[in-house]
Amino acid sequence: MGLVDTIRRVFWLLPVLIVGAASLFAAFSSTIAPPPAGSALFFNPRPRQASSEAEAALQRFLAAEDGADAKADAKADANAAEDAAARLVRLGGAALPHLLERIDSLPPDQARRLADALWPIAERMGSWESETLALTDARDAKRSERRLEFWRDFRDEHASDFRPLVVQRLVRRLSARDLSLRRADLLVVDTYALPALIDQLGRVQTNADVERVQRVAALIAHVRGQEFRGQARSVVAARRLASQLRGEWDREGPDYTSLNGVEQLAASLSQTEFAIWVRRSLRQLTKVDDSALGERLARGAAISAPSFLLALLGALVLGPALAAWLQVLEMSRKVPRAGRLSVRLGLALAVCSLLPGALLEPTASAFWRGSLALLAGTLPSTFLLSHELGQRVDWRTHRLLRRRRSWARVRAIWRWLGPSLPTLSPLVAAEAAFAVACLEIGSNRPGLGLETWRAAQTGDLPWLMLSSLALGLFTGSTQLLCDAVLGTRRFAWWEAD
Amino acid sequence: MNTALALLVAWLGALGVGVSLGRLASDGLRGRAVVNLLIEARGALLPFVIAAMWLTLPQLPRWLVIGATAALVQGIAVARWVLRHDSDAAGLAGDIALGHSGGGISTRHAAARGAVSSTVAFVVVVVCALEALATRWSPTSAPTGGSLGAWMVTADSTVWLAWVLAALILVGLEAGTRALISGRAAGAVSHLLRSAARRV
Repeated sequence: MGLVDTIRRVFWLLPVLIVGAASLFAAFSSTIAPPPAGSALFFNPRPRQASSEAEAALQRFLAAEDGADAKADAKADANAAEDAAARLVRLGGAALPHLLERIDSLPPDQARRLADALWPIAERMGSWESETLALTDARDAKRSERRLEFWRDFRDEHASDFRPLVVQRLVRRLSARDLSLRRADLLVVDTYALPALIDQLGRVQTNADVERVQRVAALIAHVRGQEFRGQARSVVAARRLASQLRGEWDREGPDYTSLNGVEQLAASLSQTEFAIWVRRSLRQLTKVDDSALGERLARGAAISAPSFLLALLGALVLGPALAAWLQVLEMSRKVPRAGRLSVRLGLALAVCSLLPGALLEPTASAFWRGSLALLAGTLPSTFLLSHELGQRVDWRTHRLLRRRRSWARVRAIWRWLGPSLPTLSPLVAAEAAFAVACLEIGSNRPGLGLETWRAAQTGDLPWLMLSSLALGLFTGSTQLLCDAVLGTRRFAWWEAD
Repeated sequence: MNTALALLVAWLGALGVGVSLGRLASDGLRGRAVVNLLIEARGALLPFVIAAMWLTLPQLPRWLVIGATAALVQGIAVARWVLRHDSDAAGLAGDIALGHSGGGISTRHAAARGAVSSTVAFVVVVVCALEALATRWSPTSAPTGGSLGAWMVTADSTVWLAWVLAALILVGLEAGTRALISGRAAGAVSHLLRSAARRV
């Protein structure tokens, strides 16, 4: 492989990584780690947004209310109406621009019911707990009428507040300083402010960031109708809280977001399981989010790395050296012809007993584990390369080299063996990882292998993706490096010499 | 019986996948890039993860899943060996002089080497390891009827017999693969058929 080929393959690494990640995601999702029912994997033909969710909830609410009035299965319809009303309240301010537009197009009776259903939002906004609107049940009709009037006035007065830029500016100011007046302004738009609030969580590194997260998280909890319990006093706790809120937003966010034409097209791709995984992974990689996965990876790597490196050392250094030594012995006629089969059988026996043998030992010591890893790398490599060398040295070469000095025999063998090592390297990376995984499963040590084994059993998609991509990237880089080495002028000269 | 079936699938599969991929790559059509991609995919997925994915399909028997996994893993490795740099210039020059295609010749030369037959024979190790892992995964539903891997993790006094059997199979598969690739197996079969015909 020439220099141009090497550069071309380096540039191809990123597209290959993206396509590989998508393929792995599809493979895992369709087999061992199925996504939540009804979710789109790569393309969402009907992306969600606040207005469509509000309209759907409104239709359910009106249908259920009409059903309850008709007294056909009245109890079930009343429950359905309650659920739909609760959904409307959860959607909150984000749904108001659409619902308040629709309220005038409804028949008066339905409009009044909708005004009643939306009333908890007004209470959440905080400024409208007036006595006139909290009337007794005996005057329900009048109360509903006044609530309807309230929502109509609200629409006219606050139309200019429900604009993304206005809300973003407000949230920026509020997250910088605790201003009670601004807070009241923000509560007017309720969940409409959620996208801007989530954006303001940002990266958490200093005490000022901790205070900002506290303020923003308290507002988020309020507009979502939850009690704020996530007191975060330290940077670590605040980052964890921000990560948790962003994680929830990944799935719930579309319900509170308004989309224009182009954004709707983009949402077909962004409101998918794959896009959610990519966003979370990027946030964790750039340390914006707290990464439990990253900590697990670091812990697992600290346990697995010594065994993995020993297996690689065995496969790429000891194995070839042992294979070369066996070949030199054979050339010197120190190994009788009949003994060659015994050597191969012995090697085969050692190889075959190794992997299952490792699984037999549940409480292996560190020395035993290290030795097993070293042997798991060395023996298969010796078995393979000694056969490769044996096939290369035919009777003519044998006779020729036997007459030369032993150093000449070693050089000749190394010249045959040399090109095989870059070919072998990307293959043994996978084999070493498998051997180490078997060792960890056998000794129940929580390294990368055992974690992957458990992830395959439980369908832990993030871990499977992480471990597979890391291993694939390692193999790909090794392969690229080895192919570049094989294509160098020096290596070509060595081979031809 | 389970291991025998898995080994048969794995051996034939690895040989077929490896040599076909090698031939495809050496004949051009961006085949080398495909093999490079497959090597990366092989590195990314540990064999038990591949097996776990296939085991979600209830209609596939366990021996087929284990055999196919071993075939895929070792077949891709074979393809890399088939595509390796070859310095048998003298033999190549002779074949080219006889008018054979360069790609075909280099594939045949590379495939006839020791590393290929050893890599194919390693399906035994992958099959046994997967069977052993399957036994640990769910001991109740593990393959028990003639499963070498399950025998290897039973920890009874006869376990060494399982190792010896596996080693014999490994060496036997290696010799068989070599004979098959170099055409000696076909020659032996045709010789047997001819001698049988003469007797008749």
